[in-house]
Amino acid sequence: MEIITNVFNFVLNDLGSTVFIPVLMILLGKLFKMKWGEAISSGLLLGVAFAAVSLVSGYMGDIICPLAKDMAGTVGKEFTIVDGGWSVLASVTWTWKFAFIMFPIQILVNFIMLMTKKTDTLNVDLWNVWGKAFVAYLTIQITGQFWCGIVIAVIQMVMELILGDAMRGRVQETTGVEGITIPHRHMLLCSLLYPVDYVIRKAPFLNKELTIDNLKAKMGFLFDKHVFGFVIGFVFGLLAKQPIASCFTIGVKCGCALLLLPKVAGLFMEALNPIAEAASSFMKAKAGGREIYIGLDNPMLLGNSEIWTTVILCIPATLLLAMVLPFNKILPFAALDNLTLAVCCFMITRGNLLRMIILYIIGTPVYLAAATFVGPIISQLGWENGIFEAGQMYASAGMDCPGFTLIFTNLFQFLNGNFIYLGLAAVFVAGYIFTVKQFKKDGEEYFASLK
Amino acid sequence: MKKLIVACNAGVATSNTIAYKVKKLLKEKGHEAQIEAVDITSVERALKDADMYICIIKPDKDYGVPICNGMAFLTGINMDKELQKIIEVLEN
Repeated sequence: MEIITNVFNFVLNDLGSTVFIPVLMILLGKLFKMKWGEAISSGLLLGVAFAAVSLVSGYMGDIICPLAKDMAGTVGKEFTIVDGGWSVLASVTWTWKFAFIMFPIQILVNFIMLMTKKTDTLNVDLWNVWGKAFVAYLTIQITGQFWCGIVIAVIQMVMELILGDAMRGRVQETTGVEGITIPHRHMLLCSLLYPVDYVIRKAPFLNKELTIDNLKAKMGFLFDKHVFGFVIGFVFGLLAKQPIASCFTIGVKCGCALLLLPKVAGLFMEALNPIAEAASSFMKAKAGGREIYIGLDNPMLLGNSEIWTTVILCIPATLLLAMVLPFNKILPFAALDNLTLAVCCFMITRGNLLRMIILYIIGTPVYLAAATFVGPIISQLGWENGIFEAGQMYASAGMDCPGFTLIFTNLFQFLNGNFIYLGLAAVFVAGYIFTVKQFKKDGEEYFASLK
Repeated sequence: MKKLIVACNAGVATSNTIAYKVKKLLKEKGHEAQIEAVDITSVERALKDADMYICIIKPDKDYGVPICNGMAFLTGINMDKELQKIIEVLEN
């Protein structure tokens, strides 16, 4: 018995999670009938990905932190959290030892809901289970209870799938692709923004079609990661009152950080692909025989230029909000181009640019508040596992579904007599139910118009 | 070796999923290709020396290379048809 305890202790505590998880990955690979060579390669790649993200986030922190300090005089506050974007959040979440259990839980929840006819959506986007592991981890850290984390993750899965069902009409309308939907957690933000749009769309002057021709074609080069990083870095340099020559150097370094980040995140993807693919094939095979909608991430929406236009136009407003909102501690950088927010605005308004911009600006403080809240908790995980330099905090200013994350990870505080989050959750759920109903109604009208 | 390009938001998640799936399906049929996942804003640059574009979004212009529908590899609908298009490019 003692030997078994010792082995468990060694594996769970002595081996760092950047070793433990690759080993787990190799065993899972064998379970999915990979050859030894392939399984070992994937497992090691995951370990390498952890090392790589540590390298790039450290590099980024070393550039941004001094700037954030020097900026204090100009902007009147000091930012303490570095915005590493979703790639950093995803990477650090995978270092949590229990992150992998979200694969079977997601599959189970989806199947139960399909079998009981509570949903028609089959979510095959299994890479994004990290988003469930993420809320589970936060909840566990806040409550100290493992089961609380699992409950919140399951609530999120259920809400995603039901919203996915409701949105399929809008998804077909905006992408032209049949049989798919987007049950991704970033869409949950619609629960807060759809009711707002429902009110403002009644104002005639907000219903005008504002078209800005080809802003994407003219300004598209700005979205090249290195160009974007350079421009933002240069502006940060100026705000930090650096000499012009240094501003150029800072710009180039920021361009480098933003160009490398997705490459590093790509390593995680490559390592996890065999498992995600096997799981998704398994789900498709088992769910055959009835009409289902395949649930995916959002890239097929990005052909709509309004999304890019909104992001470009709102960048100055986002930076301004980050500076003036007293509660905010994050300096938007890697997620300054908040595509997930723009995607929500697009889905709600069907691409009405004027209302998209209004919703984007209303939504931004929610993202900043959630990032400020999440930063210290998730950074702790990064410090423990040696991913982040000790003391340096990271988060993402474009974190998916910030409202849900902020409210629901704190939900169980009512067990300690704090009922604020329970009340907020009730408001969120009311918004969610309203949004689901509206999307469903819009969808039915759209499908009827096709006949 | 022929080079194929897939693109999504950041060139990380969806594009990599498709690249992996296509590589796996090609291997089963005895074919091999270099499949690169890129972010959507660098498609034009990436396609300069590529042989095919596996699209998630219908392209707004002609890049001078054959295309196929990458969504098929996510949904499984028409997957064989789209795979055949890729194999034709590889065999030419």
